[in-house]
Amino acid sequence: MLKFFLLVNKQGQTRFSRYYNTQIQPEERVLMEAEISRKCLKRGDSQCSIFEFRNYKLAFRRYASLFFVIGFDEEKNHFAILELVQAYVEILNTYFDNVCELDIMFNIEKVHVILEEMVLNSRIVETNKNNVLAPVLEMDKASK
Amino acid sequence: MSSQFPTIFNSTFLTSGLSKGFFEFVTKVGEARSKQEEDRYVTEELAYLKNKLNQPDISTNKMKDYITRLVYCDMLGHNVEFGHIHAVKLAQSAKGLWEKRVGYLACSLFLHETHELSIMLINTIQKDLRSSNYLEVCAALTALCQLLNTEMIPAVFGLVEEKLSHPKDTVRKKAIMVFHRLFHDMPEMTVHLDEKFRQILSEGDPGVLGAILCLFIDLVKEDPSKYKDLVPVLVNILEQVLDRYLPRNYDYHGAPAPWIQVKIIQILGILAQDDEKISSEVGQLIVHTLKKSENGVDCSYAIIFECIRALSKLHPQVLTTLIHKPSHLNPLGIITRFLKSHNHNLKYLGLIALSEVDPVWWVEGEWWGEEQMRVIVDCLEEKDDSLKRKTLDLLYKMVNPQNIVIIVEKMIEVLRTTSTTDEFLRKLLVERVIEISEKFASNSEWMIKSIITVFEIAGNLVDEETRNLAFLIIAKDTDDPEKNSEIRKYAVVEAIKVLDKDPSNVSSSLLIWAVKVLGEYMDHLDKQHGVVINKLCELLNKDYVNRSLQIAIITSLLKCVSKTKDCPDDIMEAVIKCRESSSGDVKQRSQEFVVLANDFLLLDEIMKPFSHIEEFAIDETLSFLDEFVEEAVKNGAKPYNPIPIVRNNEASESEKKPAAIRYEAYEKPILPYNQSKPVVSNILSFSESRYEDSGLASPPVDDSMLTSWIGSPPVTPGQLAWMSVSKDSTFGEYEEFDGNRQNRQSLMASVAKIVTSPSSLKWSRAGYKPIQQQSSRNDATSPTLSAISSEGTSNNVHPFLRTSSKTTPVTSITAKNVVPSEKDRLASALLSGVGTNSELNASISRHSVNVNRSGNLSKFHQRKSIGTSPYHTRTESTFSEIYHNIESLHINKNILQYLKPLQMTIKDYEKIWTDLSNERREEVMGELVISNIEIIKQRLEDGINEKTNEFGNGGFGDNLSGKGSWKIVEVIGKEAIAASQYNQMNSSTLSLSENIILMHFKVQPLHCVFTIRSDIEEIIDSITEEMKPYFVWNE
Repeated sequence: MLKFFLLVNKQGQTRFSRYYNTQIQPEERVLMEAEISRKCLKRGDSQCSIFEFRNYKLAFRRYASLFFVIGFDEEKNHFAILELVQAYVEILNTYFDNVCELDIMFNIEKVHVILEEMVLNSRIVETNKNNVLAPVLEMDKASK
Repeated sequence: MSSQFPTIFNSTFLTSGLSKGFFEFVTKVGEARSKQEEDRYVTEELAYLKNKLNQPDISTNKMKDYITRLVYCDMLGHNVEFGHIHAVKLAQSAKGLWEKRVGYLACSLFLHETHELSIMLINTIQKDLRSSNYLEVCAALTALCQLLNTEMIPAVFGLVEEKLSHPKDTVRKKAIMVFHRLFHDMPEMTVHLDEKFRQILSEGDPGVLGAILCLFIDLVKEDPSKYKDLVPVLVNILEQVLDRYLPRNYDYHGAPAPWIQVKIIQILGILAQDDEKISSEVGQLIVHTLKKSENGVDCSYAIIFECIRALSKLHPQVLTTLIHKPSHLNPLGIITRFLKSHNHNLKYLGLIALSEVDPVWWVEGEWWGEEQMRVIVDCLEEKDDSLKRKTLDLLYKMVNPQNIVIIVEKMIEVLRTTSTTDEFLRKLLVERVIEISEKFASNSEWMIKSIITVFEIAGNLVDEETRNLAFLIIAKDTDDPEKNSEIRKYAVVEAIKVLDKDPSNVSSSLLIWAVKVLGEYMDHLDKQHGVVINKLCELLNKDYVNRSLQIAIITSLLKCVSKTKDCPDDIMEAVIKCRESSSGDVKQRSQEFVVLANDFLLLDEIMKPFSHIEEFAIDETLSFLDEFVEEAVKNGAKPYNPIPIVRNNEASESEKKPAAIRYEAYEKPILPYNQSKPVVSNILSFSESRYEDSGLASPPVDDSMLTSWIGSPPVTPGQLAWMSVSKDSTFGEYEEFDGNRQNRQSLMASVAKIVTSPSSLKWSRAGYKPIQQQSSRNDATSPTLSAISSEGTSNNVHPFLRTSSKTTPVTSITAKNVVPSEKDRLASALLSGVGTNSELNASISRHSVNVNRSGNLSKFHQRKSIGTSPYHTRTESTFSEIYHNIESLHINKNILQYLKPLQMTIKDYEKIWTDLSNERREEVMGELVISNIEIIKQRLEDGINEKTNEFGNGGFGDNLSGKGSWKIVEVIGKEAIAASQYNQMNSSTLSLSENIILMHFKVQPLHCVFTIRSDIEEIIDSITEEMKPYFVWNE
């Protein structure tokens, strides 16, 4: 069960966030995100990419200055979630053609929609790159 | 990723199609140097947007732009409530696809299902679901997954159902997920679709497979028995996935559709649990899946983990046959590889995988030993908190009477060092220490001390249940009455010490515990009764004493009074003061005290020694009143209509219902989703099963268990009077009751019925119903286990651990030539009872098969269990497998299979190096420009590699006749081993036809270094630790 999907940079700024069925208040969210980015920063390269934070488990990966973090609970298979991060980044990379922090900031709605294609009801539904991107690309085409 | 912000003249902006305002806003926020600065920009932006959005006639394109900015502001934690209605409007009025999608997206982000505005979306969603453009349908379905509520269901149900047969798989996928959501909220509504879901699953359409499996995971979890017939379908799909029947684009990093594999295995695991037939059907397949992923990376780890999880759920009988193999063929053996890895993620994988496997299986199949134990102990000192935490979980799992002292000490140590901010970990530790102490402690002074220590370190985190458990440790009767009283005496002394300290500094949990101990066992003290009573009195009316402590003190005082048969005036006075308390509970108890302390006869009636108390279950269905009710109904009374119990969120919705808009024209009749079953029926089945469990005809009752529940179901004298109405109640303990009034009333309303049951000591948080505790494996009575477990005495102990408690602890298995450091001692102490089992060992005869090769392989031994052990009935296939294996050991050409469990994805890899120099007998080294191990694999697989061919021709000369086929034997991280055998070798060099040549690849930043050797031993020496287990066998 995914609880949230988060992109924070080294400075602790949130670049993207999506919460699933959580009752966290916005102010609380901001504090939590900053704390998460600090926690991620503090973890050395050799340390485990999965750790517990409050009552969540977090799986994160770092790409340049950006942390991709997934918060989850219940789900036992931590590596399926950790790998979702990589799959997601690869898909963003295909869509944006070498994705960077700015792409994510300026196209936040697209980042959201791509994630919606992959994760619904806090479950991993689709990880096939083509299947994920097909509707998005078609929407792009129709809008031109 | 660059973080240089472009200017608006930059081409990035010009081609982006973004508005200038949006661009500037995001740039400003992105460049903000502090949160304050960022907040300022956002506030400015919000003011601007508020103004803009209220203007009439905004084009939807502009609107989309504004709403996206709102999404941004919302993400940064600002209140954008004023924009919610505009998001809804955008979804309603948008013409373009992106505009619509953004509208829905914003609604999903801003609104929650019970939000009043979500009703306004119903029409739009209906319209879009009917749209001929599938992307609009998708947008609506996606939003539904987030926003579906009771109001919407009737309006959209039929439409979504139609979409299950939509020609586009994207649409079908999302429709399935809407039902997934619906299943969670109102399972009754999806029942009739069950057949449809099965049909979708059996079609095995890869496009919707991910979604339908998600749904089935939850369906199966809910009721596995209903879906047992799905096994062949799932097996079929999994086999096809493994055989790469899915289109290539489902591959992820070399593994075919890994997430789908994970999901199928998860379902199979649930279905196979406790089912021998299914277990035997899927067992081999799971092992096969595991083998296929064994050499993979990334997502393969997820598959491996899932396979191990599923394996550990299999029926013991099946699992036994699967894992009774030499360590390198034992599917669980792979855990060792991860445990020993230096990569923390892999180590973590090893730990979590291990924690999935019941300790009983650790020792079977000969893969577990001190080596692994050592790794675990090392992890405790790891700086990486993830590893540390998982190790603690493991310790908790493997605790047994022999190692409890060490484990509790370790846990307390960690508790001490954990920062106080990590409340979750601390609370968990506290609960666990006390829980395992209660389970395994043979009443010892040491244990009391450690419990007090825990209370002292983290008393604020101890909840009532845990406190009761801590009390149980003392209350438990052991076989030795002298020891009992000794330990209680000790506890009393310690409790007095606690009270002697400045009580304002001691956590109230500890005080309550001490007070309880004193009340219960004060008579174990020879003198000083008066002193104790005075102390309690003194404490009673202190300001800092909270209510629950007050209650505990009054109860304890009453117990003291009943023991001394004397109630001095000062006690009476102190208690009478409490009658003024604002808490009803305190009032009630002090009142009871006053009455009882004046009537010792009545007091004696109530205060029976607790050792005769038996467990009871509360008959919440009040079935004994049936006759009364029937009679009353006969006499014209109105029958009682139970109020259906509705879930919280539904309840709140139904409250709102009258105000909601009702559309007359809903197509579908409302299914009876709100007729949730009344709680009563659940309880009925619960108590029924309890009866079955306890065996209706007088079950064997172990005294020691029955006596130990003191401190659990609390009853006051008032309730006692009530309960004695019930004929078979022999309830006689006056115990304190800390619940609130409401609970008390509900307890009063139900009447205790005594059920003697040898099981379950644990109580639910509510404190009334005994939780049934039976390890699932206990249920599945395999002859193996039941033979062992029949000896077990205490409950809640794993069958295996029970035996171990009988056997004398063996400190280590064949300690190798290592100087026993402290760690070693710790490892072996922990291991005792886990790693050794004389019975089991004796039953398995071991044969060492030496490989007598003229070559270098003599050091490899095979350890195997041959012969029928009394416990393990082997299937024929296992036997033949073993014989096959042994035979092949002598035939060197099959040695490849022995380099490790080899059934990985090897079709025969065509040879890449056509030639190999016969001069270079010892070793050939080279470099290739390959930066990725995947590429190596791929190239080996394809058999076409220009570069390597070039290299091979150039580097090796061409006088080698052999064209071996290369197989990748092992890949770990950035290293790989490929092996080949040469049959037509030039006799002068690599001599006989059985020769093996290994090639060792190491991917470095730009190059791939490889070493080719014919000398296996040497290559083993030069490869890294992680790879070694695949070549060296335990001797």
